[in-house]
Amino acid sequence: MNSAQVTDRAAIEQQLIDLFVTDGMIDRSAIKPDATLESLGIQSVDIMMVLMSVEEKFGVYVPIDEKLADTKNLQGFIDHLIDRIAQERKTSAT
Amino acid sequence: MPHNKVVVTGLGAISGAGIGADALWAAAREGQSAIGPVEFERPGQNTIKIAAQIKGFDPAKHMDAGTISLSDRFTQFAIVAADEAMAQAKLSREQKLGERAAVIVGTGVGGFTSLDDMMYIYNVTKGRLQPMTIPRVMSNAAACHLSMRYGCTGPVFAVSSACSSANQAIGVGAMLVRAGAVDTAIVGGSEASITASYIRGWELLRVLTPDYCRPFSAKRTGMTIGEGAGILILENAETAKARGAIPLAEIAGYGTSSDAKDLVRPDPAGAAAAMRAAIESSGLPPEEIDYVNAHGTGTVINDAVETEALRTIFKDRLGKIAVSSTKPIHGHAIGASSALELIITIHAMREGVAPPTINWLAADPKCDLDPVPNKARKLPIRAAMSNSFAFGGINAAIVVTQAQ
Repeated sequence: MNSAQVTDRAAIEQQLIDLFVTDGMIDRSAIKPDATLESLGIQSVDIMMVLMSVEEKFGVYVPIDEKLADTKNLQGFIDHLIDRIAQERKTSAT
Repeated sequence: MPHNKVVVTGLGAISGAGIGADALWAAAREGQSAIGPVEFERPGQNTIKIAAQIKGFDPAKHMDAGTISLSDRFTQFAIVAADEAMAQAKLSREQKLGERAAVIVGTGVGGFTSLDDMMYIYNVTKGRLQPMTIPRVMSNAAACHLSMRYGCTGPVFAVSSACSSANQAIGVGAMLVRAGAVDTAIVGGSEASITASYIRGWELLRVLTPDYCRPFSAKRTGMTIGEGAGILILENAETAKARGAIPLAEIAGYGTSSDAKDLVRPDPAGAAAAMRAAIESSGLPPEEIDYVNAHGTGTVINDAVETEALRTIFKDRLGKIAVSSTKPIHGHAIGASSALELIITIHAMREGVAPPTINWLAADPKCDLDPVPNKARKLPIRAAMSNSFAFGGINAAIVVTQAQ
């Protein structure tokens, strides 16, 4: 991974955290990488709201697959979304 | 209260697999998926590009112009399926069925195509509206058209419980016959809601797969929407015998339950309660159930929850029962789905063949059952169960046995 990709990843991560705050209605101060979705009070309905915004912002449809369903904490969830966005960009670039 | 035996004397279907119950069964048995690129009359901004759609349907081949002008696509599907079922039961339109006959048809959203058309014309084009929109859209339209078509003047109504609609319609019809309230019940489900807006609505729930529906498999990513109708003719075994009708199967048991918990998240306890009630109502020991046609949507959560519920019912025997989902064949036709699946289940039992769960890649530890992966299997089936679990937490299961 080169430095440009790292910066890109960090920028996407920041945008995703913003989505959790606005659409998932999560208190920004409660957001920590190891915070569990449960401890943040994130329910299935909030996840759908966030995923809809991800689609609007990044043009990537993220279905609820095993990996997403198995994520336990916020960082895992965000990492999965970043991977999907990166994968989609790679596919549309080729 | 009487406890009449309830037999099935006619089956009819229209689905992405084509017109006819035989076409549906052949597709299910051979693992031929009806899912393909979806075509919308008014394309929208959709991410999901696939569905099990009925393409090139021409209602004029099946009904008169007057009926067509008064009916939505979901009613037209119900008519096509019901005419086939009535013909197999050797019941004719000339001989009105009268007050001893019920019609109960399930649907998720009724005449959605007509509603979508009206909203588009009213809000966008400002053109001339179809004056019969309301009677086309109403959820009871399919049941009412069938009641007029066959002269059924007994209980007629729609059941609307999303994905459990058809199983509840069939179950309630069977209970009416069992209790002696009617002699005949025309039951099933119909759905025709594949518009760009409707699919978009499902996309937002994140339960649609962008590529392959693969129930109970590792790497599954969701379901695919379908459309169609399935209709069954149920009769009191005695009156059916008296008129010389041939029984195809017996509806032995019906059970329904509500999770009363979450609108979209399924609960294993509620699903198990419906299955337990259906088996108890059949009077059979669970050991006699050899095949289960699962709800099996292909979403991560449904299939794991359904497996857990099945484990509660069948315990260690679960691995020995064939449990398949035929949704990758006919799609998830919402209010029609459990009717299509019960028709497949009856064919499976009569032929002694368990249809496969196609697109299956590898076992998921959370779905530790025998999904009959990818290829049909010969299997003597004494009794079978067909499951449906709906948004809203409504569960319904039907148990069928061989006709004696």
